[in-house]
Amino acid sequence: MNSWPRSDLATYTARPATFEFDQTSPGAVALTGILYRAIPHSSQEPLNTSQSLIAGGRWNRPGSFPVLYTGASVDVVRSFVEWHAVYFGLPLRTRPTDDLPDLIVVSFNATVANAVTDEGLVHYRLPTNYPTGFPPQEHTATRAVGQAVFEAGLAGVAARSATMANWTGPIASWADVAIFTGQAPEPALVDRFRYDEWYSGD
Amino acid sequence: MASQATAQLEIVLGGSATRVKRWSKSEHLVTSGGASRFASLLTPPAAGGLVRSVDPLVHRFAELAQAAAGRYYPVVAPLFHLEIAPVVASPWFGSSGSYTNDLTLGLTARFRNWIEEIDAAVDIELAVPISPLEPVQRLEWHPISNEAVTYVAAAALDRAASERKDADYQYELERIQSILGLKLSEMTRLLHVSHEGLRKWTRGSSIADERLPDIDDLYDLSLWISAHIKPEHVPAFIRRRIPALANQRPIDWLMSGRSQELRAVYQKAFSYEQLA
Repeated sequence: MNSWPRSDLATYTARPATFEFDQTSPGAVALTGILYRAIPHSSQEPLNTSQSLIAGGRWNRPGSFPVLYTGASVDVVRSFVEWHAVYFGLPLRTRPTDDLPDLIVVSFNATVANAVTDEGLVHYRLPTNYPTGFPPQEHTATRAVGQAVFEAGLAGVAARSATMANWTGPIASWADVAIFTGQAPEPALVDRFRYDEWYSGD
Repeated sequence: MASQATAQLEIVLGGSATRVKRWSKSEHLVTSGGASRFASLLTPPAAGGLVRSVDPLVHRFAELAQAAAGRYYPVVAPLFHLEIAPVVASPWFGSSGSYTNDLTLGLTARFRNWIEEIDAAVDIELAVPISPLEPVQRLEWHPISNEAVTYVAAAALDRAASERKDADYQYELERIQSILGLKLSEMTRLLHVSHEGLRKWTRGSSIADERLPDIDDLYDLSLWISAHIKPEHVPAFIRRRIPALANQRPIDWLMSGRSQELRAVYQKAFSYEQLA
């Protein structure tokens, strides 16, 4: 029986993930550290990727390969949750407490595809203003990139969060990280916070 | 109302056969012809006609049982439908020369026995004494075949189930309207039925079988939505223009028969599965 949380959220936010680039390979970035993810409060398997395999997501076509979608900061996940509320017409104050999302903290170290810098986006033939101008549920271009990255054996994709307003400041404050769990080092579940323990704002 | 019930209970529990027959006739509780047609044809459709012919009587018994014993004992109206076949199989049926009267008196006798048994078991403080009611003895009486009695039992069971079903759908319609906060005109558009048709449904009239799946789907969807959105916010939610629905409203999707698509969109939304 797990007892959450194990630590204060500030313990994790004080140590953001690091992104290290190698000038000789602009399509890759070495990622080390803490990532975050929103999950259903009722979830007993917070690292389960079966839904992403079935439904697909930003970087994987439905039925192609499983992906664990995460954010590199709590703000990234919060912006996803806020976007979700607006996009689906579900303000959080209208949801039952048991339906509000938990936040999980995972530790992950691997080399992933670089879709955060202009060089990386060019490498993957995505526009340097990506994701600006891409409709929120239009994933044709990114899924093609995701498939190529998967076939190249990389552990996932780091990208600019589509729900953040801008991508300035440290990468860890605005990046999404999609972990290709079938071929990535296993992310470790570090902690879990109930909605009222991590989220502020509506 | 209570005194009316007492007066009727006096007849039904203690009145002579003649008084019971007169009461039943004056209250139009049994349609003549149904029982005699069955006795001559002994077919499943005729059994259905017999069961329908005593429907008002069966329901009156249910009301009177409620008046007599409701405080002490839960009374379920469809139970009385199931008493019809035993009466048809008993010496009551064919005892007097009028199958309509036989059925009326046979059911009345069953009602008396039933109330007496309850009174003996839980003392329902009956204000009216119960008198026994016996069929006239006839030497030439021939029982109805087992097969034909089975037809009556099946028809009665169908009738009871159908009434239960109607009551269930009445409840479903009320819940749909209340959960989604729908006006009558919105309900009619959602269910593709006229105002008059909907009014009849909500008063318990039978709903055609082909309409039931739509009502079931809408009921399920309403319950599902209300499990994921606080009840007081559901009416506003279904009228909100929503980006995920191409800036249409959930109620628009429901009215255009897209309830399954709506469910698919919100299955993902309610799960909070992060896919980007």
